[in-house]
Amino acid sequence: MSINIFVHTDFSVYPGLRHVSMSQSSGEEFYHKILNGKFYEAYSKGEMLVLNLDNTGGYPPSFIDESIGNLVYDFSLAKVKEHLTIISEQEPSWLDYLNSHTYPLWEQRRIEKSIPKKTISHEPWYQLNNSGNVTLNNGYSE
Amino acid sequence: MRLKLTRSYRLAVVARGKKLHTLKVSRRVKVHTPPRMYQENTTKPERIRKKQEAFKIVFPGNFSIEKGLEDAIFYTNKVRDFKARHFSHLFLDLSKIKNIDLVCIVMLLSSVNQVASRRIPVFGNQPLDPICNDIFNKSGFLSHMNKISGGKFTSSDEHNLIVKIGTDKANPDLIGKTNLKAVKLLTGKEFHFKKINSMVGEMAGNTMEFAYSINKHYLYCYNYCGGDEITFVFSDVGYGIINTLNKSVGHIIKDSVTFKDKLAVLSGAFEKKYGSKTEEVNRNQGLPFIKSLSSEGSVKDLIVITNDVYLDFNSSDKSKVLSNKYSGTVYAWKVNKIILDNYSSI
Repeated sequence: MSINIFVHTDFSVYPGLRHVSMSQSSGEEFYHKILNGKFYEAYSKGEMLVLNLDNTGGYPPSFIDESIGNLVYDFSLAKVKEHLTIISEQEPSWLDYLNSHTYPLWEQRRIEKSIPKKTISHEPWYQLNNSGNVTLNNGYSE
Repeated sequence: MRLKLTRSYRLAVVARGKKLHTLKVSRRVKVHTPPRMYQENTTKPERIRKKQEAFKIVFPGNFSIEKGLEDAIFYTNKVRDFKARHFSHLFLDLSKIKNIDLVCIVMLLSSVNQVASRRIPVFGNQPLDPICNDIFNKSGFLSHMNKISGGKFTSSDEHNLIVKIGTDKANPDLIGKTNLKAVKLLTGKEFHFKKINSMVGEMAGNTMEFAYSINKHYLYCYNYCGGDEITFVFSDVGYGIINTLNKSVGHIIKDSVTFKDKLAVLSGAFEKKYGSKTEEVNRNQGLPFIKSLSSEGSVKDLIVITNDVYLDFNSSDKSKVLSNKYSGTVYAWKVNKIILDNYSSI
């Protein structure tokens, strides 16, 4: 069983930039409105989340980096690899980009506790805590 | 007007260093003096007379990156920095221009937008040279202006378009739809050229983060003059790329020891040699991504003008450090039919 996200229908045909403060349809918005909740659903049911990047107008790298990077920060790279499959047949280069750039850097951020920037306040979101339980995060305290 | 020391003021002076707070607050009293006499009573003072006049900027013959980039930056800066302290409005005299191109037109429009955002009226004329006049008319510049007689210039020419793709936030929908139109002009088919959408998105991202916080705006345009290629220009007004780089102490020392000029620094930024001022480890991905599209041939003839550097990605011979500094960033590139045909067949 799997849970699916199609970015072009579930979010936007024209994904935007990194943060809500600088762009419409940003990576930050996508993560907090869709990706975090769907990933938690898949994780808690022991299923796979299939994220389909095809059929949009194209992605700025910062959108991919911010949205999927935040998922790594909140759930760890191991859990993301265990429960997330990304389909990008039209632009396979995004898979290379994730493996070579986003995954290692955001895992490093997670280990170093380098808190991701949030440009607006968000509804509480799911996060794996140190004891391996998922809790609701009400916002990072610096 | 003269100031006269009143009793309470004198008290304050005497009591300096003591219990000042027990004294009355000092007051200034206007002492009326007779008005100054002007040499000729019929002549208004210079500043009042000037206030009713236009400040005229006469543009030089060469207003293109190939033949007059230094002048173009100098004059667009002059427009942008215009202050209406002593003049009622700004008049742009473009009549003498003999060489003009889209990049300089967009730079000028960026500056005009800056002036207009300060509620200063801007008027102007058009180049008298018929070829320049044609380029100017077709550029889409006038669609951002009002007619003196009232109303806006309308443009039904789909071959040329200048759009404001953002003020406070980038508008990816508008970027994507603008590119759809451009692709259709060249190929007759409507499809997403994703690479260009991604590239313009990153350009907008950089400038959203580092453009001036006041009067932010970003211009994006394409220009199709027939044939097999189309020109794109992206422009913002801000701090420019070089001023937004975060150079480590090691880089600063190394660059100064090797007398590295700004051209080398800018080239280094497109190769991710420096971090971003945000200091987050996963940042400054946009510039290398932009360069990669030029290197792989997804766009051609990519140039960037920022701060005092002109960087031509095709030719290091043409790249140079400029005498005049541009406050902001301008990118220009071309896409031809072969690139789009190859892309659509993948």
